[in-house]
Amino acid sequence: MSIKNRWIMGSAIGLAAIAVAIDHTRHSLPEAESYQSAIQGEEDSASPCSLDSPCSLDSSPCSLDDSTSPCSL
Amino acid sequence: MTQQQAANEVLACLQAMVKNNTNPVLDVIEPDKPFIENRKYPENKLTFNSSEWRAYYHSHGDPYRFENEHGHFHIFHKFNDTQWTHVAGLSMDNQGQAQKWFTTNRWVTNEHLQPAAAIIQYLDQTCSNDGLLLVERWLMAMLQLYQDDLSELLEARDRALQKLTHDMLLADVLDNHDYYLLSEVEINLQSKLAGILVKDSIADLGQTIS
Repeated sequence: MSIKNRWIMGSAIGLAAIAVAIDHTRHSLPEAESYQSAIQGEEDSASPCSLDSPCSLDSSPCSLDDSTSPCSL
Repeated sequence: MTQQQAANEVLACLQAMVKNNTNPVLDVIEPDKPFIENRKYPENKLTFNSSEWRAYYHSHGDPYRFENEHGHFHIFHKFNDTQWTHVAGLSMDNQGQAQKWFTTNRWVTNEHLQPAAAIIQYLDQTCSNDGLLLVERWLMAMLQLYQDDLSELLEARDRALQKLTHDMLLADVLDNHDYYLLSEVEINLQSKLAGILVKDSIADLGQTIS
């Protein structure tokens, strides 16, 4: 097989490997539930204003810091 | 890490995910438990390169959600002991595939906002894979692979901010909740990887022939 043909074959295999890797990592993901619906039925005293609670977009929804900014680190 | 090394690393991470029957999103959320809007995943955040970088995944409800978006990663770099700079958001589609890089206004991430040039320097840092989770390796490689696009994204963010300061002070713009998204860049990972890895094969062929 000539160098050119080997290159064409190699490239085709490489492209196929990329396509397969991407296609096979496609999975259906669970739909997001709102915090309120998720805690419904839980018997602990979870408060929507606790540190575990998602903060509203009125503050900083994407900060790193949970205590003040729901989207912070 | 060169762009070619980054492309190979992204591909290697995806191939490892195929073996594990997972993807970057399934790797951080807990598939057996309800996925809660606005909650950050994983709980302890993702950390890489000696804790200089941190990231997490979460989702918002409408209208703060891109079309076909399941959720997004937020990626930060340490500024000092208490402050972090938001490098970019990485939007993931409903099948767990990267679909878009984006930047947001300062109030959204409560970050220490830095100019594009300062953030782009972070992307040049060399990183070690030792002890990293698969999804952390993938994120790190994605940052390297899309370095040029991220530069454009951050420069576009700075231009957007500059434009907004024609009418108000920068400090007011940064905390103005009317301004949420500042810039975005579409991602086509398959075409990106193919372009780099095939181009590399051509270069190798050229060297072999000469």
